[in-house]
Amino acid sequence: MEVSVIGNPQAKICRAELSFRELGFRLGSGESRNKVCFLTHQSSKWKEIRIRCSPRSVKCEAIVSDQAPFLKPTPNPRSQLESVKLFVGLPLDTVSDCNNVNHMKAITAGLKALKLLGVEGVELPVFWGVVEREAAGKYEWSGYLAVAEIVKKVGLKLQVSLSFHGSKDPEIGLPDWVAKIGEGEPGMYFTDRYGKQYKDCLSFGVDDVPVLDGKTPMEVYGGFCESFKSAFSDYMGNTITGITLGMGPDGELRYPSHQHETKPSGAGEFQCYDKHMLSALKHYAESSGNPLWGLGGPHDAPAYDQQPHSTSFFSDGGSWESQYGDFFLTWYSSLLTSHADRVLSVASSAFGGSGVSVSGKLPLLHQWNKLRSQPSELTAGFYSSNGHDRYEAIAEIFAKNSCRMIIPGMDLSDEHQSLASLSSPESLLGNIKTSCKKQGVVVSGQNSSASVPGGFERIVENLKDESVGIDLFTYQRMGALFFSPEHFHAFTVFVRNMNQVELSSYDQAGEDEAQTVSLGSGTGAHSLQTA
Amino acid sequence: AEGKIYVRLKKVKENDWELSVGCSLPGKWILHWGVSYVGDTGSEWDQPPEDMRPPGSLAIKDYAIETPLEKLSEGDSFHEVTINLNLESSVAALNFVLKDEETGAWYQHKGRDFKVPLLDDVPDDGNLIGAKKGFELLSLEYLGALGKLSNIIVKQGKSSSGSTKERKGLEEFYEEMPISKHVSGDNSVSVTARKCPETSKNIVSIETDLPGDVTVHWGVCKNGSKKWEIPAEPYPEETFLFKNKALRTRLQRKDSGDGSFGLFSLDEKLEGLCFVLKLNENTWLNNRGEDFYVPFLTSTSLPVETEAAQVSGKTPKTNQEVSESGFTDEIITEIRNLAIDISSHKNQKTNVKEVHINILQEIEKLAAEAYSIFRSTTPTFTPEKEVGYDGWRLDFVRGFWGGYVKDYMDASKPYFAVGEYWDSLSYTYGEMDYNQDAHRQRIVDWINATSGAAGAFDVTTKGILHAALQKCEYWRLSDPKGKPPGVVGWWPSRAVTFIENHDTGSTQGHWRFPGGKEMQGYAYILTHPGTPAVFFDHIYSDYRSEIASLLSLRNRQKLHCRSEVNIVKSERDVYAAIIDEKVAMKIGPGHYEPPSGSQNWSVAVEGRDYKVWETS
Repeated sequence: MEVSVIGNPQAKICRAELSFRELGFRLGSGESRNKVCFLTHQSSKWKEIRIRCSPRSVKCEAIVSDQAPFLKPTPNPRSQLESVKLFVGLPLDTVSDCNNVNHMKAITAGLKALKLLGVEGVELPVFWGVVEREAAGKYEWSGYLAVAEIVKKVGLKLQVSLSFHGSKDPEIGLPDWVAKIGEGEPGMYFTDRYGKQYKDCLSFGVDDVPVLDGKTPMEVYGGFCESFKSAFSDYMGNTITGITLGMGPDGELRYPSHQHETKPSGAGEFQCYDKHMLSALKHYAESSGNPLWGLGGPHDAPAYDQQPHSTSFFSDGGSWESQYGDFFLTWYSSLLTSHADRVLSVASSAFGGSGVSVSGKLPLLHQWNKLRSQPSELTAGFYSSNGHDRYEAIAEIFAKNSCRMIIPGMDLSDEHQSLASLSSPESLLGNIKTSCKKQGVVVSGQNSSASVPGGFERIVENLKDESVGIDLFTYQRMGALFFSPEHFHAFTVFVRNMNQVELSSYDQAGEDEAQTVSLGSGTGAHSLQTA
Repeated sequence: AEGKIYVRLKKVKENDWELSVGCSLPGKWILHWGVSYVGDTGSEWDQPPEDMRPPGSLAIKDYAIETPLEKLSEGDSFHEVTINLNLESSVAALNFVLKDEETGAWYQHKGRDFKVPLLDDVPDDGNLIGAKKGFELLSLEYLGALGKLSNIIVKQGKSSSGSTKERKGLEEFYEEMPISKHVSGDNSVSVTARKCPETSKNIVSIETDLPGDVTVHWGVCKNGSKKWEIPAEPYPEETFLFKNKALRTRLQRKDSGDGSFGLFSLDEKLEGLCFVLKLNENTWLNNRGEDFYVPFLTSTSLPVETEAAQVSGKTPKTNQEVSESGFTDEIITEIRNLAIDISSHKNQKTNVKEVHINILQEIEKLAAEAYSIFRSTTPTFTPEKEVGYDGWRLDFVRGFWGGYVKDYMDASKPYFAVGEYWDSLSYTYGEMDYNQDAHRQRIVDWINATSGAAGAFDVTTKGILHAALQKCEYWRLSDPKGKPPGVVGWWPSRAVTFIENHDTGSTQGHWRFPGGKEMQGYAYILTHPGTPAVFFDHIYSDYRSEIASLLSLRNRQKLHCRSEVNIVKSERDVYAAIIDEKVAMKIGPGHYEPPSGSQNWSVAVEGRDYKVWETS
């Protein structure tokens, strides 16, 4: 048993000042000069303080309550903004492919900082390629479990993103055994018209094809979800409050139509040239009486780095508006919609009733959306005949599976887009939100991954919008940039704006202070003289 | 045991004086001391010159010496140490505290160091000895680090022998002050919690052999919170409500006379009992800064005994550093406690500010820690070199005390050292404040803590340049006194001006300089005082020749880190200054021409939105 007494006179006085309210201590004097001592002892570490006890004894832990509110909002009626739960994404490489937790110390410090700031929780990207890396059905959750435990200890909530895609930076691929199968089965990857494969995600064309050792990808994803659920059963519904299912490249529901970082980028390319998709297209063309349309994708679409209008497909009155265009785009987008339905069904059957919300993420394909054809959306798979709402069918699928929709890019504003990109992120965001509202889908927000000027202000504007009522926002993403002083400061201000911590309460504080101090010093001085 | 401490200053001959410190109490006394030199400000200690250190002294880091007190003769009760002072040295004052190695107790003077001035202009913070003031208080600071004992005595004494000191000469003096040392035997507090099988109530018994009155200051916990709450009555005998926040119960003396005990019967629904013990007005026992917490059993009725406390009067040697971290751990708990408390007393806004400030400081510290680790694990592809210097660059020094940097510098003696103390500038509603004095003060404080051994990156200047250039707000570049608004305006010889480094720019891009305006930045830093650093990436960019021209102008005109700046224009769209009366510069789209007077100005370097002239 370890005991110490408040014996440091400097400490004592400060503690007296502070403890006064908590415990009603009266110690020492209230000389204001001594307050300085408190402020000079700034360095501080967190430590769990344990008491050693005899074997028969209860383990006493001096635990500080999780429920301690920090920088909490003033008790005003809750506005739309205050009801938003704020999460911060953990680094993509939080867990290495050897199941080690990377930058453990930094993450722990970061989590504590976020907790003190009043952030609700963090988002943890969980990669298929890390957990089920070696062999089908062999799951290794230890690294992610360790992270969940830290998050729980710090008292934060956790949103888990089950990622069935790979990442370029940091480099995380699909599971080794899947990649190995892919070598003999090239048709399971998305393929463009040049025959180039996109190997960070499986093609929607194989969703229900037993390409993975006799199992379909959907069955494999289902097994992954079940394994996750049992491995994290202690956390489900308490620490873990939400699960996001990876729906495509970078987790987003879309075709990998943009694969090159060129500026300004083109409209992207159609990805329908893998074996399975081509045969589906052929079948669909034959059944609709136009077998010649089923031989491949559009021949007059621009290349990746070409301007959308450089060829005729996307121009006004171009092929996209033709009967062929409608045929092709309807088929192409229906695969995306049915993929969404399959993935979300897997998720809702795995996680229904386990006390967590299930979400899927959409992309915000705002480039070129001032063009009538909105070509970036078309290549990514968003289309609706006769100019109807391109997101309604998707929103319907989300509604049907009772899933939330994550929309990124809430930090983007029109005024910061280059004129050449003919882009309006604000109006696109508005469209998607409207579709969700119509279908009764709850929307969660994210920012774009790069930091943009005026981003925080824009996010706040978006979250204030009461017509949609976004109640969860995930800020991407923790790392060096996130904690770099200028950025972190801006983030701090953002969080405080969200919580509407009134700066003016600082001034009010001064008034009551005088009273307390006189109380403290009066009795304190007396006790000193008599000691 | 009661005794005294004395301090004596005695003249041996002309410039040789000696200072003796003695103590009459038994113990293993150590004088922990350091000096201040002429010209030092603040309260930092320095190592005394070698010839001042008595034999047997040990250096503690770079700021203190520990010298044991010796018995004058066998049988003598006094321990004493004598330090020879040579007044020809530049020592201005001697600072010390006394330490008893046996108990780990520290003895200070009025809560501060003892300070013996050897010069007349040593700032008096109320802790001078040998000055006019007498002694009022000698407090004992207990560093019960490893948590063993605990004991605190605040003993008050009064000395009437305050001597006066003339301005020109030093006077001998002798002062005594009483101290007392409380030595207690091993005491313990034991706490037993059990469920009463009949009533299901929680029965807690607290028993101790501590002498004297012992009061338990307590509350109960429920609903998973560690917040103190007042349980419903009945209470044990001699229980009083304390300010509606806690209960105080005086333990009953045992019949045997040695110690006391108390029984607490508490409702079954409660989750635990929090308490601290109060021995007297100034002595509290807690669990290393935390409350004791006794959790109640919920599902079993087995009695469980907690050996709650072992109080020992004999503390083994303690280690100051350990203790300090213990203390700081407590702060965060205090913050939390206070935060809880504030939330439950919403009307009481008192000290909200203080709590907020402390939480924000804690957040900032954690973020700085996270940043320094994340940054070091993020691969950097571009090598970096500050042009023209061989020295250290201390990455992201925020978070460690400048004093350590000094240790490091002293040990390695680089030709040039610079630290990057990077925290955020001040903003109001997203707008950068005009006045960034607080920001540059923090950097100056950091440099100060290294005793000027290291320079620091002038992050303030970079930040202000960002705002000035980005938003065409060139008026920001002059502070209210007409000086440069960054560190360079206050301490040019220690300011390393820069516009970009591998963290802010390059592949990391954590705080990039406004794009396309880099040359305006260089026109500023390469003509201004301070030590400019050119970013490696920029040397190998299109800016190369312009930067080279500015560099050769700086060399040609012998501009240096202490050059004089005369700011002649700082308006919305133009900033202009004349440096050492031989170089004129302007940045910004606005117009400026140097005065056509006695000097003959010719354009030296010119580029987009900047122009530099020199006298020929």
